[in-house]
Amino acid sequence: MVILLPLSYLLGKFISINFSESNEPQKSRLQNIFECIEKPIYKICGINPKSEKSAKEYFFSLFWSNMVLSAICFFGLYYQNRLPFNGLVNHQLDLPIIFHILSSLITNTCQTHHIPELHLTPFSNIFILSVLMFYSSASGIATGIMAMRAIILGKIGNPYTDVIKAMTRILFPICFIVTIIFTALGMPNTFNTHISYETIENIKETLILGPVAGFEAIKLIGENGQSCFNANSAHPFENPSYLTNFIQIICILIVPTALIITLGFWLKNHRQSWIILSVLFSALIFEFITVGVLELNGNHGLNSIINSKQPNWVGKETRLGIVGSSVFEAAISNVSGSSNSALESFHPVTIALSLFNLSNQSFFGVQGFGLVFTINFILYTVFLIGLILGKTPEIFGKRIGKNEILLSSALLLINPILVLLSVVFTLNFHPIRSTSFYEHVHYFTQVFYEFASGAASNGSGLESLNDNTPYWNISLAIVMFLARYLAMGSMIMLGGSLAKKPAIPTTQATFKTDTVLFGFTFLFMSVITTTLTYFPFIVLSTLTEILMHG
Amino acid sequence: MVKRTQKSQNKHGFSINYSHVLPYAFIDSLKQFNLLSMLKNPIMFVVEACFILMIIITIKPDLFGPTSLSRIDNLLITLILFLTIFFSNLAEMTAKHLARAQSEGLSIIHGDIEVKRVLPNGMIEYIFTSQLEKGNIIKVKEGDLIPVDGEVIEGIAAVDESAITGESSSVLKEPGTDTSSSVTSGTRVLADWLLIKVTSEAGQTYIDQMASIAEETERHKSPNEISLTVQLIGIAISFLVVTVTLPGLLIYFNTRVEFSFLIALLICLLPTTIGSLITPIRISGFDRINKLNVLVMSEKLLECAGDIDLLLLDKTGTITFGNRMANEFIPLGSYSITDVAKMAFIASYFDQTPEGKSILALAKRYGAEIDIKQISGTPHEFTAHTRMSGIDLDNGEVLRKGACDVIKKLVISKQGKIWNNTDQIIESIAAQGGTPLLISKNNEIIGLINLKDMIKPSIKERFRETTTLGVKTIMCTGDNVTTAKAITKETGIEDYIAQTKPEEKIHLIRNYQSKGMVVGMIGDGTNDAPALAQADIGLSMNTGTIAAKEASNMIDLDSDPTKIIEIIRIGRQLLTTRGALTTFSITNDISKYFAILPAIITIPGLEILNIMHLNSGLSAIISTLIFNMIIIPIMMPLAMRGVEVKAIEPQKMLRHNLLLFGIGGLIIPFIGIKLIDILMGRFL
Repeated sequence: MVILLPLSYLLGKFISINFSESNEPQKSRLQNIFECIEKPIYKICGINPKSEKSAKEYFFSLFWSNMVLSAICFFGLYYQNRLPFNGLVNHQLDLPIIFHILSSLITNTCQTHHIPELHLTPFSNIFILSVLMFYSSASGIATGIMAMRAIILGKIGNPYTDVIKAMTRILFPICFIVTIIFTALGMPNTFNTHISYETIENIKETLILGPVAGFEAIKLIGENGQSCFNANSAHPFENPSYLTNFIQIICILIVPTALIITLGFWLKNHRQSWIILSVLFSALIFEFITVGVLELNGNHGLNSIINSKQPNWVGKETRLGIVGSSVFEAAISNVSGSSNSALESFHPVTIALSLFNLSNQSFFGVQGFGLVFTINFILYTVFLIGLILGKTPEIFGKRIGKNEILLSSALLLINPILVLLSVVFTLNFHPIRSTSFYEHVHYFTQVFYEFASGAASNGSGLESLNDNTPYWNISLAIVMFLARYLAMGSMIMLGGSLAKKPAIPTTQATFKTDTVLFGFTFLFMSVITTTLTYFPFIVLSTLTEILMHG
Repeated sequence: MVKRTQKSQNKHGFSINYSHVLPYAFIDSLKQFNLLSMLKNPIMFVVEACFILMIIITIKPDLFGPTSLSRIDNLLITLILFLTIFFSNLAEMTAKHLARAQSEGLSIIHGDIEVKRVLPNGMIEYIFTSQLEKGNIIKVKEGDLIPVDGEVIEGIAAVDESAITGESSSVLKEPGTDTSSSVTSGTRVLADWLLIKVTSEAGQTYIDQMASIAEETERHKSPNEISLTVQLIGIAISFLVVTVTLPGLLIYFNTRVEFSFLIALLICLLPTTIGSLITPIRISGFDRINKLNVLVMSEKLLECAGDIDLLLLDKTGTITFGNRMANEFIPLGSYSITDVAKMAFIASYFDQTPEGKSILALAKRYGAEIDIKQISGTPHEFTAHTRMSGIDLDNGEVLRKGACDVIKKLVISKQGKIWNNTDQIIESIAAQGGTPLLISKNNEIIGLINLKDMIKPSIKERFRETTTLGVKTIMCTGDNVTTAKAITKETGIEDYIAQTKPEEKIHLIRNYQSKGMVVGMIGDGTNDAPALAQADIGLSMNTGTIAAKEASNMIDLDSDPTKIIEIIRIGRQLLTTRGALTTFSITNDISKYFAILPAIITIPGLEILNIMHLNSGLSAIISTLIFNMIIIPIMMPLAMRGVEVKAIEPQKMLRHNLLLFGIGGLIIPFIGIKLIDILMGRFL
């Protein structure tokens, strides 16, 4: 935290300057350097960086650019065995898994149904997956920044400029630094695909390598969670030590935190940022403590068998420890699909908390979109506050009308509709073949988690679900796609709608949103809105699981 | 003629008497069950759809699969749903009938009555009000009802305006003045006669407009209400998704699904409390404004009034009475104040201007009334040319009252003496915004009269309240800074702009509006008309000119500018009441989940969910439904009266309301449902 906040502050300030779309004459040297890099990109793509778009154009440009990139990558993946730089993998991928990979990457979900080191060639990993990871992450940042900028500064901006800037000014530089750090800390970062060696027992083994550190950087910074290895951040190459674990957590949280600090810069009100951040961080710390305590107390059933009090080590890396895993878990279930332990083996309450986060999406959330949902909950909160105070509700000085509430409600409904319907559909039409009641219960939790994570563009999962099947691949591809772009569209339209409205000055009767009272109300509204919708589902999954564990 | 009840406002808001409207509301609530008329309220529409479904299930209990519920159980649920809708309708209909009773009192002359039209040749013809056209001239005499809005062009008459204003004292109407030459339809001539030029066509008088707007507000939703409805629909959809998907989950877990229970779950989760009271809140809010004797031209204005950031007030005629009146006598030399009052009375008797009359009135208060018939002499009437009035008494005394310079000249011409401090007093009166007059007896100045434009007595200090509501007040006046300052200090108005020209007001308003502010303007004169039209809320005084009234979108029949405070408050109250009930509705759902879910989810081992220890599944469902139903009539008076809007900081108010309705909404249903459950266990 001590390290995270100053870093985020700097990044937040940097974003606020670079994305404000104002025509300030004097530019810093750093900005000039970036512009030199960006100019050729704009030239090649034929973009006029200064041209303002309407909200509708903004969304469709972003949407189609995503689609075109996916189409190109589709061919890349389909013919991956004919492309160079194959490594040990030499087979064609099925269509469903390609759809799933594409949908999951372009939506920044990065749900991994495939086993990266077995299914994908290093070429695919480096040139297709990482490109998608960068682009989807940048699209997310662009959406978040656009919404924020439209509401506060009243400017819609240009999607291409935003995406390119998000890559050149945020993702590339940070990833570069992080890669160097990771490499220094012992992660492999090489274009050699593997090394073979003989063990002491003279058995030939192959260790798969690759540009792990670089990949890791974008996985975390971009909140992707797509990794080189199936074990994700539990793999020794992906997360060698306590220190890397720590850095990884910072990496995951830095951009979402910075974006909220940017909000403060644009509002010229830092208190506002700190209030929102305190709410988010206290939720995070609450989760961390709950998870930590539950895991340290260990598995009740197991402990009674071995007759000692042991923490719950199942599914955790001894290298990283219980606390390390817990903190990581608390962070990732909010934000990204990375993982350093098997979530499945955690206490059911931990899973319930994760499910809650996935349903809520505003506690940091996925790249850019977390901000989107945070803003949406703020809007929801100030709407009610406005009513209670008797003045037409306003968010950051913009009056909220029917249109905004319509889009905001839509944004809140996308997730429950998609998740709940698909969960129930799956349970009844794609049921688990087992007679054990326990497996029935657990299957429900798995299915619920899988869809919730897909719809929240998160990508983590309860991995004992055998999910590399056409049904799972296609259904999730659809859910991820719909959830991502419906939310993106709603938020961009919402931003556009508020951008047009005049800012009203604050008076004595204006409710100040940079207060502790607002923080509590915001937390309360956010929690209660999610709880009310998901209450039966989360309760049913958690309680039955606890029941099973005894 | 229907007499309007006196203002039923008391210190704690409005006391509402339901008894005379309830029977009508009762019958109309049953008629309201018509599905088409429910369409405009989406939440209650869903409830009604569920009600119909329950009727079907009651008839055929195993329609949606095997069930353990008997026909009686289903009937009970159906009955509660019926009552839920009935109470919702009853709330709406009661509000409607109360509002109608209000507006019926106003539309006293909806029927045609005979009027005397004066033709250009001076002849009088008898026609009906519906035949009257704008510009016609009609004659009304003692006892007649004035059938239209108009302007007095001839005659002086006392008019009883109590039907409109609720004030029992009569008002004098005469031609040629700003304030007292406009008449309103529905008022009655008490004495003498008037010639009135018709300014509004039949059916378009203020009263007619007001009556029709009162009816319109029953149908139209205001902007914030629409937003809230959209939000409620969103919430409803999310609960619909939950209830639709939940059976799928239960089937997966191999547990029985009671269809009636699912319907009960949906009904309880839906925000029925706010959903059923949202229309009554609007209608009764409007009713409250009408009771204040304020005509409002559109339903949107009330919410807009709650948003006012800045209030611009015209001084003359709005804050002050608009004409200068004698305020004090200042004796000079050895004369006493009573002497001065007596002399002023005699000298002013021959001054027919309002100022002259005000001197007589002030003198009377000093007990200086004199029977003028006992005095013989040659009167000198006041004229605009001489600027003085008075009498030359037969005993040789010459009494005069008039403007300073003419009296001084008169005294000097008679070699009289002027006291040293005279000029000093004259200057100090002028500095305070007053107009000094001198009184002379023979060749001596005996005293001064201070003519002041009087601040309406109701205003004193009242405008300080607007500051606590977060509304900035600015007074516009043509007066100098000293006068303006004195008035703002006395009235509690925050700021003033002195020496403004009338046309500057409109620029000022535009300027503030461009900054995103909602501007309210209060005025009465023709020169205020453009500003009244430009402002978001233009409130004109009933004593104002026709032009001002036409340009404004609210008219205060009592001509009391402090009413804006009440208007702002009622505007905010509309939203506050909705917000409070929405919060209540949403937080209620937590406990309802805890009550109903254990009844629906019958997985063995999950009895722990039943934290309230309700008797049985059915009992839990029925108790929750009854609670859900009974809360509507319980909250109805609150919706009608409105949640109190205190003039406190927004932070404090939010905390207060969140604690009351948020935490209250969280706890009350736990208690309520448990209580009903215990009662049910006793009796069933």
